[in-house]
Amino acid sequence: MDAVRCSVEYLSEFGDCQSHSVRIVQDGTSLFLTSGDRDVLIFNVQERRVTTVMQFDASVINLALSDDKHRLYALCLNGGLYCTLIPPQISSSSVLVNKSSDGVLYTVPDDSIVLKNASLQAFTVVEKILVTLSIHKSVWSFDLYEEPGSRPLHKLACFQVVTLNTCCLSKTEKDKSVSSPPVLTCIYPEGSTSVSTHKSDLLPYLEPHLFRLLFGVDASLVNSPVILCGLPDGRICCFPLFVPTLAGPRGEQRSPVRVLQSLEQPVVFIGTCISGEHGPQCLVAVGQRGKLLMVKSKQTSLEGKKADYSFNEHTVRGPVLCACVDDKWLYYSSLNDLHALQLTTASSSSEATGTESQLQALTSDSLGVCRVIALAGPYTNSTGSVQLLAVSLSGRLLCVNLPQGSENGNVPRLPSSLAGQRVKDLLASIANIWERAESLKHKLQEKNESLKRLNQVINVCSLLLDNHGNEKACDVGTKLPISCRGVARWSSLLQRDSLTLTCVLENSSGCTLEHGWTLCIQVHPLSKGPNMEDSSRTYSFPFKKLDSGQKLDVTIPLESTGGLSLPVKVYCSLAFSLSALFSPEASSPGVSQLLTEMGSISAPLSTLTVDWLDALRLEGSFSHGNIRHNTVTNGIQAFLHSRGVLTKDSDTTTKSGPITVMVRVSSELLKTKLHLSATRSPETCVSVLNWLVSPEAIGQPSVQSPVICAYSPDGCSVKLLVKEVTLGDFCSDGPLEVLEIRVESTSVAAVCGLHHAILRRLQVLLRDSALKCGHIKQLKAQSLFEAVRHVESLFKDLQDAQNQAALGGTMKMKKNSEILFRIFLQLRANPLVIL
Amino acid sequence: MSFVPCLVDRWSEENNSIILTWKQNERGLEPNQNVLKRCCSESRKLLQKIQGIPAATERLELEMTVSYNTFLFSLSFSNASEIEESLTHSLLRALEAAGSQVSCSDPVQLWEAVLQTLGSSVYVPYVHKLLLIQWMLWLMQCQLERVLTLLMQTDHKNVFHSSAPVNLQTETRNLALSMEEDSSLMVAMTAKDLKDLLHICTVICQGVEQMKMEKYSEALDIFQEAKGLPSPRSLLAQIHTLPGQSFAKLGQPHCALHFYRKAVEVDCACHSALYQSALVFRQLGNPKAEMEALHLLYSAVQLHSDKSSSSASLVSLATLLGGEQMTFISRVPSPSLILHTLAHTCVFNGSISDGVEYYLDLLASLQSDGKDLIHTGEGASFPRIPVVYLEAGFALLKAKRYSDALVVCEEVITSTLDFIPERLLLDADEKQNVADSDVVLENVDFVLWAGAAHLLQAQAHWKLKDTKEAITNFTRSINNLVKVLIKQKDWKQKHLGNTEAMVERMVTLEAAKGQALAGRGFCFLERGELKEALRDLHLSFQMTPGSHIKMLLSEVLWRLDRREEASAHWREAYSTSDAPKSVNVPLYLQLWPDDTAFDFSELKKKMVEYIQAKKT
Repeated sequence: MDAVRCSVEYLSEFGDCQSHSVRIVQDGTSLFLTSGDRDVLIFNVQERRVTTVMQFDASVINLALSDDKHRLYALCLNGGLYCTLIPPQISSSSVLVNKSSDGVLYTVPDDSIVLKNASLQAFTVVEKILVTLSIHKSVWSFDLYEEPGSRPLHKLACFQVVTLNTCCLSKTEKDKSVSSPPVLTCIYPEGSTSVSTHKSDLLPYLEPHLFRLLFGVDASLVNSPVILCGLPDGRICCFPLFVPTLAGPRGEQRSPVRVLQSLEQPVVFIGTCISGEHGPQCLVAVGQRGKLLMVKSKQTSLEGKKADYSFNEHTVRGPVLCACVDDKWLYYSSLNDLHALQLTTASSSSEATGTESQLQALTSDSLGVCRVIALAGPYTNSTGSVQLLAVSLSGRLLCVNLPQGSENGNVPRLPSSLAGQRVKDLLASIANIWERAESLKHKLQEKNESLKRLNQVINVCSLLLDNHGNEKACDVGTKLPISCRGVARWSSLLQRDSLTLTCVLENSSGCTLEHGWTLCIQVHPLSKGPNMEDSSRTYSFPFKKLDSGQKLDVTIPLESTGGLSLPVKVYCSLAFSLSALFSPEASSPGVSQLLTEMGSISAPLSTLTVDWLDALRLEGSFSHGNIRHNTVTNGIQAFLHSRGVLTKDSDTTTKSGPITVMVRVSSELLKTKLHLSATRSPETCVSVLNWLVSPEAIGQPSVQSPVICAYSPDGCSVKLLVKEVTLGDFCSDGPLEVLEIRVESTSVAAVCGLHHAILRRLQVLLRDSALKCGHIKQLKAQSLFEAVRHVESLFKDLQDAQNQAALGGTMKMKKNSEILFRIFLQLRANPLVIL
Repeated sequence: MSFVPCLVDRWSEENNSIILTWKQNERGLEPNQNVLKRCCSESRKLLQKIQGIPAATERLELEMTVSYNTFLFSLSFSNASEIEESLTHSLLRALEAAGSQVSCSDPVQLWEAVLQTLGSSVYVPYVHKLLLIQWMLWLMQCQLERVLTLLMQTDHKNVFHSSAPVNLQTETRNLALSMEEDSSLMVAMTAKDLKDLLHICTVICQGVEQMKMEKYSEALDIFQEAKGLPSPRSLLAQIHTLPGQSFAKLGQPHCALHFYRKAVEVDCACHSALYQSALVFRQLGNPKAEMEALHLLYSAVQLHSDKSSSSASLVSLATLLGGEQMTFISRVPSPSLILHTLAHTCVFNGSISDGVEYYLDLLASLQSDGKDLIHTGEGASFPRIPVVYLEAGFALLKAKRYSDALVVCEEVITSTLDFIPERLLLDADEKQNVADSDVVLENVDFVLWAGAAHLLQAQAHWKLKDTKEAITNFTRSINNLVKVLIKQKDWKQKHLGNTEAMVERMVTLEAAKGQALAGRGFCFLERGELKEALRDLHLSFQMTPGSHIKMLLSEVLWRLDRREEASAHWREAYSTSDAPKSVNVPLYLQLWPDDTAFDFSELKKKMVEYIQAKKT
């Protein structure tokens, strides 16, 4: 068996087609194609592209070219027959210049309708005559019009055929038969002028003998082409085109339309082909359910006997969707396969063995192309192989190259080994395509995900921005949707105590903080020590997901390499990196490439301050080992001091005893501000002390006595006292209850830090006290005056000291600092009362 | 709303510019269909614009004028129902503007409402313009009843006061429409012109309806009135032709001819008048005049087909009178059929040379362009093509173009060869249905054609002095013709299914057989084969008795020295005058005087001597 097989070239794809409405008409390199919608595509076979799209008003159901190939006739579903000039093709040279020019859309204007008749079923253009077939009230009527005629078209003639009363057909079958339109074919007598001038292979023709037998003396004498029509009811009608209405045998007028034969099934195709080896042409008709009719002239004995023709009926496996014919082969497509049927062998064998074999089903050769619903051709190309153009059900335009080897009658069937290979190839290509489809799906999903995330981010951002506004407007009282709180704690790790800040990010909003968000905490010391130039640090905590209602605890150390420097400002913010929009495995580097380091969003959450009070370690709340460790360092320091390697600060601290600073606040003010209910002074003192030391836990006080002994972060012991004193001479209304908050420590730094912390807290507390306290105390001028004088004297001392410092060199430095320290202490020791 | 008057002005201007374009085109030498098309679409757009805003009385005049123009323009591009729909729409809008609401879509009621509402206002001229359109539409659909109702509505007085039976004629005659034209709003066709055209067309339509009902004298009355009306020139010819046709039907051919002549005087390209007069001449038996009329008709038809440009006039008569009416009025057979009739008449009446030319023209046109052949052949049908070939062959033979005749007949022979049955048995007793008998008739035709073709060929050969070839062909002809066997003795009785056609075929067959036998007998006589000649001539005489054959028979018998018989035949032949020309047989089997190209003078002399000798 030969290994020849037909090769299928895939030319283009047009999308899904309806099987009954696809029409292709080829003219040279242009292919006119409609797939049942409003468009007619003009496809250039050589360039393999659609050059023009012609858009009609309604779905196109049939196409034909005029004789001079300059005009296209299209029958649309709205019953309009359009005739339009074919728009000039863009030549390939201009395409090379401008490659981007795709098809040109050409909307067919409404006024190119030449005929409007909703019952039009089919039409054809032959010899400058337009033949239309319409059905109206069960009468088929053929109408002939002058083709490039004036509008409205000049009607030349009209013939009518009554439809068969097909009572046996069920309704559904009727519908089906209506759905398959009638087929109109024009058949020429051999040797007629139009056959010889045209390319003969394009026009179906019959030898004169058979032509005369089939279509009558008149048509053959006039050499008139004959229109054959396959009606959906299976009848094949014919009438000669150029024969005038003739008189019948009784002198009456007679319809020129004759019924040749009935296939009893919708006719799909009518054509002619060669019968026998080099025999004359015979007529071929194919029915939808596989009936194949061949009409041949019988070889007559020489003398006398009336010549006859024979109808040979064969059956091929249906359904036949479309068919075409070349000299010897009939190509037809059932949905499963494209078949090639050699008509010559069929006829010769039937002649050899007589009538019995005529009835048997013809075996046809499979070409292995499935789902073909429309065929054009066949055409012999320059290399000699025969080409068919086919449209598949999925809208692919295929070029089927038939091997030359088919000439010898061999079945172009695949050998099994090749078939296996072919299957493998096909499977591989299917896999490839599947992969591509998957990846595309994946990409799409990714993009959707990104968009979803982006939406979330923007939601969150707007929430945070609202936060910000709220924070300014009303106070801390309202709960924010996303908030961050922080508590400083001592923790011991590896025998070393360190101050840590525990931040709690709480998401009480409706949104979920997705992957990509980062909690950024920036720790920024307020005081700048000499050995910490840029000591602000940023900690960032990316988190996977924070659902609404969830909390995130993070703990950061407050000590840096340079040691602990208080107070510290902590800025909390939420940041989102845009790169997180694109999931890490995303295969689209394109967009994320564009993201530079700027590609992030940062929204401030809250600002905290950690001061000395926060960092105090109350006695009894920690193990002593660590403190001892601290005292050891003190010891070492003391040792170092004694050796003379001293810093000036420590010098002063060691020399002077415990230093005391004091803050006085009007107890009434403080009570109202802290909402204290206690009336007795010791309770008030305890409460105030609690507020100072552990502001979060007002409910369960950690301190019972008005005196707290604690250790400062650097290990010095600190004493905090609160007591209530009465200032009798201060206020004109009478004695004034004042709370005296006193800090005692040997360490200047601790004292200063605590003092600053207490003042800051009071400041925050009393920020808008002036507005809220309507009752203004009448102060005694005397005490006020004294206080002012005291401050003024201190100021004078300070000025003196400054002057001296300016005058004196480094020698007097020490003395100066002593003076300043004294002034400082005096100022702190007897402060003004905060009312 | 200050912009409305401004819009009205602008739209009127637009309307006027469209009309000006059209008028200019109309005045031009070659009116262009494209201009009409453009005017139509522009006018339609303008109407759409105007109808885009609610109807109001201040725009009513403009709107109705533009509607009127649009309808006139769109006559050639859209069908009547479409125009009627938009006309209804326009009327409804007019009523809306006038403030009355009518929801019915029945045109008669609608018009009643419109005429009542606007009938006595300043809008009457415009309403009447639209009324003319309605008239035109109904006329196009040949709904004369509705036209009558419409026109009666227009004239209120008639409806209420006259008890006399109304008819369309008087109604149209007495119709008083307001025809004032507004110079600021131009129209494509003045209402007066349109009204006149509608009037004459309505009258003609009525007349044609009467003719269709075969009431010819009533039709004549109507056409009498039509003559007094103003009408376009092309219609004038029809106004003369139609009474001519009525007269012809009433059996007054000379009156008919008078009218036809008038029609041709008005419009020399009036085909139907020429055709009808040819028919009348044939009826009167005036072949010369008939040939002339046909010749004129043929040249006119050919000229017309050369032009065949569609006129770009606004309202064409063809649209006004509807398709059916117009085909009835100007019914003329197809050019090829005219040519055949002309050729046939020429040959039949002896003007052979003209006839031959016409036949050759006909054959050429059959071969080359088919378009002339296709025709909605109303009435007359074309003869079968082989018959035309045989007639052409006959004409060629008579014109002494023997070789051409041979070729033409050969065509018929080859084409019919395949259809000739071995033998054709016609059994009268068998009941045959029509379809079967049609097949039989067709087969008889094939036999007849083949036989006739051989016969003509034989005659041509004989004329070429090739008696041997002639005898062969005569024999072939006879062989063909005797294939038809009739299984009944008296076939002339109407026994066979359809018979009349069959009898005609039989007569023709017998005639052909007789001619063939006679021809062969004559050839044998010339060749001196007297026995064969006697046999053939005897047979021929049985088929077609005639004095000519008798004389030939007497000649043969004389030569065979059977003098008594010869003289008997001679006397018989001499006493009966020459048989009249056999009209029943087709043209190609007609006997011709020159067929008897045999010199009987010798025989005559001998006969006279013999008879006198016997007497004495």
